[in-house]
Amino acid sequence: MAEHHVATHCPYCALQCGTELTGDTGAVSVSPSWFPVNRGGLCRKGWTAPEVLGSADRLYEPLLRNEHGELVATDWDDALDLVAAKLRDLASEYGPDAVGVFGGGGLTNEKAYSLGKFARLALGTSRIDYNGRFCMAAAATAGNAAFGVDRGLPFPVTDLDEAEVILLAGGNPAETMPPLMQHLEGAELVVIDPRRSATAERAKLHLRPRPGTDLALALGLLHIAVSEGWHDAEYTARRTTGFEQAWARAVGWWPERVERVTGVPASAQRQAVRMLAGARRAYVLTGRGAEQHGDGADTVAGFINLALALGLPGVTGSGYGCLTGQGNGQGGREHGQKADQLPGYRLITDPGARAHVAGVWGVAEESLPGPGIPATRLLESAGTAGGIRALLVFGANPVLSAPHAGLARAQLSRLDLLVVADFLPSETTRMADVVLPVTQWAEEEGTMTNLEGRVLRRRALLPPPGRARSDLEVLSGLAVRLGRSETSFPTRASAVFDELARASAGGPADYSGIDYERLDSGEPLHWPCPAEPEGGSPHPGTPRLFLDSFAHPDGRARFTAVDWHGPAESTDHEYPLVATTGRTSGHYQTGEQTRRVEELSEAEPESFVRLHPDTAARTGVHDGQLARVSSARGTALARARLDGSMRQDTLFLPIHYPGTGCANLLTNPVLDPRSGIPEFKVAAVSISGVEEVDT
Amino acid sequence: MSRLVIIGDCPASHRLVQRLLEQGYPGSITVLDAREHAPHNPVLLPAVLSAGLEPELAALPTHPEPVRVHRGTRVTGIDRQRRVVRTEHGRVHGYDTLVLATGTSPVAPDLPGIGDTTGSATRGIRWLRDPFECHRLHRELASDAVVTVLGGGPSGVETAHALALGGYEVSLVHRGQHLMRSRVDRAAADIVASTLRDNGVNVFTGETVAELLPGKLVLASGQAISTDALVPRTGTRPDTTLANEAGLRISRGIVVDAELRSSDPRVHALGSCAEPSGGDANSLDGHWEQAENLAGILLTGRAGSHRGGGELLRARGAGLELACIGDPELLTGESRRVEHVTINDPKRRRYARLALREDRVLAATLVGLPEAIAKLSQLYETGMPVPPDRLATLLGSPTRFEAAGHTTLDPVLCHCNNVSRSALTAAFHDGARDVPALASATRATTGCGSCVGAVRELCGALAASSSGHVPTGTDSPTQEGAA
Repeated sequence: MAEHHVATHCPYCALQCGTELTGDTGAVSVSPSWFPVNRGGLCRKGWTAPEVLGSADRLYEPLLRNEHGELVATDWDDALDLVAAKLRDLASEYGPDAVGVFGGGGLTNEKAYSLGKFARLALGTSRIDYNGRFCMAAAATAGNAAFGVDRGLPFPVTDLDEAEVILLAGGNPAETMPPLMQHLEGAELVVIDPRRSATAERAKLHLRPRPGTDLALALGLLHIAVSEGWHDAEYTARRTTGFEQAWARAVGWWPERVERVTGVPASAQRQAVRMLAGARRAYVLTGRGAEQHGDGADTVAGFINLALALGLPGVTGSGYGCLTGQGNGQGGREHGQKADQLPGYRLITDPGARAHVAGVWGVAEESLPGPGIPATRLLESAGTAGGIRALLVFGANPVLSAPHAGLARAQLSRLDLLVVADFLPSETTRMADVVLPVTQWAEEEGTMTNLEGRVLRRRALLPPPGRARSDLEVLSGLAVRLGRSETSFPTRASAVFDELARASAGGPADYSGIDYERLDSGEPLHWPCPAEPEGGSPHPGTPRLFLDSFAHPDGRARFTAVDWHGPAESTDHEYPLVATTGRTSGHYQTGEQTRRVEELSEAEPESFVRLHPDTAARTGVHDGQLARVSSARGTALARARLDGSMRQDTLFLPIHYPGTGCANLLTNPVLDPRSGIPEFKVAAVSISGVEEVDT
Repeated sequence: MSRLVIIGDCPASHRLVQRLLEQGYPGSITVLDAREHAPHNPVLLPAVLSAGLEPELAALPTHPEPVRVHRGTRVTGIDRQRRVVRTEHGRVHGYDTLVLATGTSPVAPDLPGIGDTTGSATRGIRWLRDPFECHRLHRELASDAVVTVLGGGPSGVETAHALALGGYEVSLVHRGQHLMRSRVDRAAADIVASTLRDNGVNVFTGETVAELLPGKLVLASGQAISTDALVPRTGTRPDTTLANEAGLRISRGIVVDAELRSSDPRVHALGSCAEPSGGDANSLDGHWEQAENLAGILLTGRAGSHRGGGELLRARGAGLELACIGDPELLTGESRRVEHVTINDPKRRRYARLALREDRVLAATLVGLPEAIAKLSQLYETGMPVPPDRLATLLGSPTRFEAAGHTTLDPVLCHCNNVSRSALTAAFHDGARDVPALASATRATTGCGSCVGAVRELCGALAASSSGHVPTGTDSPTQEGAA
């Protein structure tokens, strides 16, 4: 038998490394391709991804909770009939907003689009949001406000190859997206991170702020840029607005004051600005460390302000960008699974956008619901008056990924109906009333949009296993049962893409000039890529945004006037330390996939907490001992790892573990008022050792 | 509606108004100030001097409506009985709460003919009190002009340093035997002086001035220093005239209690005119903290979570790494319960003197140790203990990435893909003889790529040893066998 072979992309992060898959069910092997992002590189998550395809506990059949509370196998018709009937009942009793939808940044563009359409059309609910709200919503909000459009990197990743200096605020690509590092090799790095991460180890300059003070640091860097005369006044005058208002806040953040708040020496702040300003080609990049705060959007705006003052964005060879996290974190936020959004990255409150999308969908504009509520609020509303009674989850694991995980679990348990579509059992499927088995990366067709806004083809090597169906089929099946026509919910990915492209036409993320044929021919198409009139040559896509003008009507970028007020929670006598969360090299997100890979699970089998040896000595915790970390919200258990490079006031926990090791048991569900992102990076905690009895 | 009147638009009262607005102060706010310009951030004066920052950029932001700010309006009197203030224009403003933020005036140096402190640049005196004066100096003086700063307190040191960074030839003349005598000891001051000299400042201590002549300043010792501009930094005095005339209690400044109330409970004083003032005239942090505290009092009637006691002097300016934390008296005490640590390294321009009690910072003087300054000032403010290794804390000895390191005979060369040296060696012996072959056999180098060098090196070493090893390996037994 001839071996199957496809060119596709890695299932995990937003780099979307190019890969070649070979083999057949049970024996798939992967090798990296010479795709510009990874150029033959692949991290160990990517190398071992095929193992997840054959996971022993893969979901093969729809499951229904029986009268004994057990999940038992059923057939698709029964499962979908039941779900549709319950949804109809709940909607007729409580109104359409009683049904919520929770999507994911790992879903293909087609799935994200169909999910948004399904919510607005088949359910008529406004209550849809997705786990990207937990991820980098702050950067999206800040990017839209500053530039008029939000594309993680408004330039190809390969542009970074030529950089002289890159400031990386709260990102750790050396562990979370290793193949990116080859693009950072030529540059001197300035890394902002409270801990000495693998990326910080490579930095020429490492700034180590106390968690929750990133914005003060950004304001301080802007203060230095201006007061030391690095400010590009000509660029600011020609290409931006709002400098005066932003400066009016930064004027109060001189380096010695910033030093007091952040713990970053004034001299190091000055060095950072001098490096950045002195380079001919310089970039400012943000990651989750800057974004996941109660002032996340303002923090990102603080770094964008710095980049604007130095004249970087919209200039060839320089710029600002956000390192998007999830595989389709970029595409996932463009096609309508966000609470306030319609396809094409349009606002659901914009009458023109509503009219256009309603036209594509063949419905009256008035029938489209208005904006919903951000993910954390959506979950909180479960079972409350006016809140959701049912929730459909696609490609997400909110029981582990939501802040204050203990509460998230309690909230979901108040639902009358929890339906989860996934390919592996997770903490969330275990709570579900109905589990729908769906396909994963190597079993499906579709597109993903990577961190540089390039649209990529995901291709199927294998048929769906067992009775698993693609999410598109699941949504179509439910929509039909809810009275929609089959034609309005196609199940073929290319057909969904063609509709998505039409719906996006004229929006900021315009895909209307893209189709599978162009993608399959290997064209590097970055959005916007509008359809050209009949007979014209096709639009080549837009690898670099903003070179001529920014996407606001006046063509200018906007400074945002931001100020630092501190994290929502401060340390006190009971919780004297700060816990911050992050990722390790072996695991992805909540670890549902990577913890099933033997090699990865063996390398990092259980949750751990990094702390300074002095902090450990003071709290009586030993290296390797199980430790109890507590916040006002809950307690997590993690193995202590002493690390002399930690700040003495800071603990670090990875986010990849379930059960008692779940770092989100500690985190604060306070939300950034502008973007809805939770404050994952700062929680006041205490730590103590756990006595383990040898048995 | 409650009427708040503030006399003096200074950084402290500016902060007060900002905070009141942010927190929805329900009353009316009126600010009266004799000057025409908006208040500036004094922290930026050095930037105007050294980097030519536009003076407008040093201005503090304009308050939005409904705050009424009357500039060019001198207050001539306070009638506490009728609760009104009168202005020079004959207007009367009634108040329910009055805040005095009248600031300070510079003390003129004891120099014949210098006149009062309102003097202009005519005699070569430059007060450099606001960004416009600084900018004028920057604009008017030739780049090789000689500027003399008089007074070696913190403000004089910062000014001299900023002028030197701006490219001027600078002299600093100080009456005391060493700089900043009230704040630091001799050894620390000597290092600060050396640092200034490194940056081209001529430092004269133990010198008083006799006469300012065109182009030169004559010292009491008879020595003449060529001087195109003289910048007095000989101290400041709280501006208490109005308060005094109104019969409020005055010591050096307007005496206030912990809630910043003067002897009249309806009248508060804030910033450098108050006593205690929340730090010297130069310490904006202290004044801002006071302002935030007062905002809380005016909004809620009681003091907020004012940290207080956080006395911290941090010299400002690139390369001027000096911090005085806490009360300097504590550094010299003899108490048995206080632990002292001192490092004096004049050659490397580093100095540290610490007083600790139960591992907490009581007081510290730090010079030339930027990391330690950042770290210890945070430990001081948060009350966290100082790590047991005091020298490492002060000198910032490098910490390894993984302190609890897994030292092993078989190190992992490729961390991204967890490939050990032995795995690579085995792959080499299985025929993977170059980096690409090793990469496809083991995945090493395919992650972040930083191990390429190490893998290439290992490959080279293995190739060398096997090419050298194989012949000897086969030869030796033969020879032995032959023997």
